[in-house]
Amino acid sequence: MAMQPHVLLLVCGILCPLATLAAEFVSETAGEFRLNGFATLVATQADSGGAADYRSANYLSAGSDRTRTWDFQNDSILGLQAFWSPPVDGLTVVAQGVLANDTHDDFKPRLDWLFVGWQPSDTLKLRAGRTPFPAMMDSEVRWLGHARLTTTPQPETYFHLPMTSLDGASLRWRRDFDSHYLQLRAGAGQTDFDTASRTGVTSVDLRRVTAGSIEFGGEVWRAYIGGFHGEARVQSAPLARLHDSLSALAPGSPIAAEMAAAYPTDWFPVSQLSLGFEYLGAPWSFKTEAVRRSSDTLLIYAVRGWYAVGGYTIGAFTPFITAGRQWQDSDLSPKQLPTGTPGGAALSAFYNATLIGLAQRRVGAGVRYDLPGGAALKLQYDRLKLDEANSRGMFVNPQPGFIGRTDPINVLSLALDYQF
Amino acid sequence: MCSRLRWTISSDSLRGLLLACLLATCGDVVAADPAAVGAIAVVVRNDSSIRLMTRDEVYAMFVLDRRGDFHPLDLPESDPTRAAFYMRLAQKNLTMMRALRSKLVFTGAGRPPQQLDMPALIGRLAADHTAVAYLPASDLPAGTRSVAVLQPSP
Repeated sequence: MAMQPHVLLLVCGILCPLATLAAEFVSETAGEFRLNGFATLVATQADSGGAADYRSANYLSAGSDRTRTWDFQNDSILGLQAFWSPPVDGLTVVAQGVLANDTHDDFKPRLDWLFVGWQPSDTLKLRAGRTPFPAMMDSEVRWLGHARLTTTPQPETYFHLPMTSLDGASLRWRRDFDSHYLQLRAGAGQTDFDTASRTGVTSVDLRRVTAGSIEFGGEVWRAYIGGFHGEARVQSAPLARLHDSLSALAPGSPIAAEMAAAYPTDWFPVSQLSLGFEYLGAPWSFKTEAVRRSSDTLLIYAVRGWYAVGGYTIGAFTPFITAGRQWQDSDLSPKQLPTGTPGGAALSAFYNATLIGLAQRRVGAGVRYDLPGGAALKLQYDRLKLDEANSRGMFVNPQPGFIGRTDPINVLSLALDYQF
Repeated sequence: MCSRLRWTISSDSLRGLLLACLLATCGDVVAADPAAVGAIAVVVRNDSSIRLMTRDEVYAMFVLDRRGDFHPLDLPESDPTRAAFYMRLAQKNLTMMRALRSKLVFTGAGRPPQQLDMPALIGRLAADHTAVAYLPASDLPAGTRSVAVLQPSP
């Protein structure tokens, strides 16, 4: 059952002040224990004309109508991280749990990370267990409001990556020289998650995932390149029926075979490459990232996206501007089975109804105000424009007439971040 | 056996948060003016094993948490000396330092220096030969010495 916004406010109102103290326990026999946390309360309103639900960068939920008025749940999050360094040289244990909205629009706790780390030298760190998914520049810190200017993670890149952890192992190697550093990360493992698709909630499994990244930086800048490759399986009952029906026609119809191949029921490859750059030299800050995802199926689109955000700090205020664009590179051209094909008209209609794109442009502006007590208030306005006639952009649960809407959509969001 | 439980306050505590919310409601802004701060000294107790520190070593200790066996100490965010220190050391303002510290803590790469107000920090310096802090160079407490100095921009 979904948590009501006023209940969420109450929970945050009680938990956040209680959690303003970070705990640290040090013992010669038990080692060192630290407890830290973060909380972000976000309120969002999108004037979609009552025809769709705005979803930004957290888990893609199935739609709840709330962003058509004010939504406090979609991007709000409360996280706790426990760090234990037992009295064994180089060994650490980290657990991170978050309370956040999920695909089914329920505000529930989940275990985000649980891993054992071992640092055999100053430069190398190994982790095994449920580790952060090393897929993009900020994938380890995407939940942290303090780590960014904007109210939510940038949607054009993080909207397309609903998973945040990988069950497996990873390593980080970092070498400092003079005032620069080089950091390499690599990981391997598997994960699974539910997400809101064009045909309802679907289950996605990722296996044989290998990920890697290179980050090079100085004191005020860093440049990033990273990516992953893996095998995906998407389980959706309506799409499985579509695939089976088309496959039955495939021996006598090349077009049916082509349409069936777009919705495989078996594992298929997916990969992603991303680039990023960040500059943090007061009073200016700038960050940009671009993502290119490759997939030959329509279960997971081939996606392109980029964003940029720049800010200028004046005292405790940092006004910023931001822009981004996303689009799919998959073939979304309608297809028709030959006339006379048994059930062909219905199958073609269903197939073509799934061809919903996500092309969208966004421009926005906002301000971050760092309060003296350790909190930060943010106000952000975004103007979204769907780019193509078949696009739903970042919206889910579209009602008739919304897809391909030509009028811009205004999104207003307010955030309160706190970290302890 | 030595055990200790310490409640660290990465910000100014609950009272500070509530005060901040109140100030925000009133439209008041508390902003440090780092430009008005003179030379800042990185200080240790007289008998510390640290003799001198380069700027890179100060950066590594206070920004990257390469602290070794020492204990770096921070002044509160509201103290203009802290804003000036990180501006000169790392070219980072309050917002950027919060972002940096946030990433440092939650990626397991380190933890911020312990934060103490001025009287507590001076007391800690006097009591702990491993403590390393930064203070206005013009007014160093007795029993301490400077190991590095960050001058204001000309």
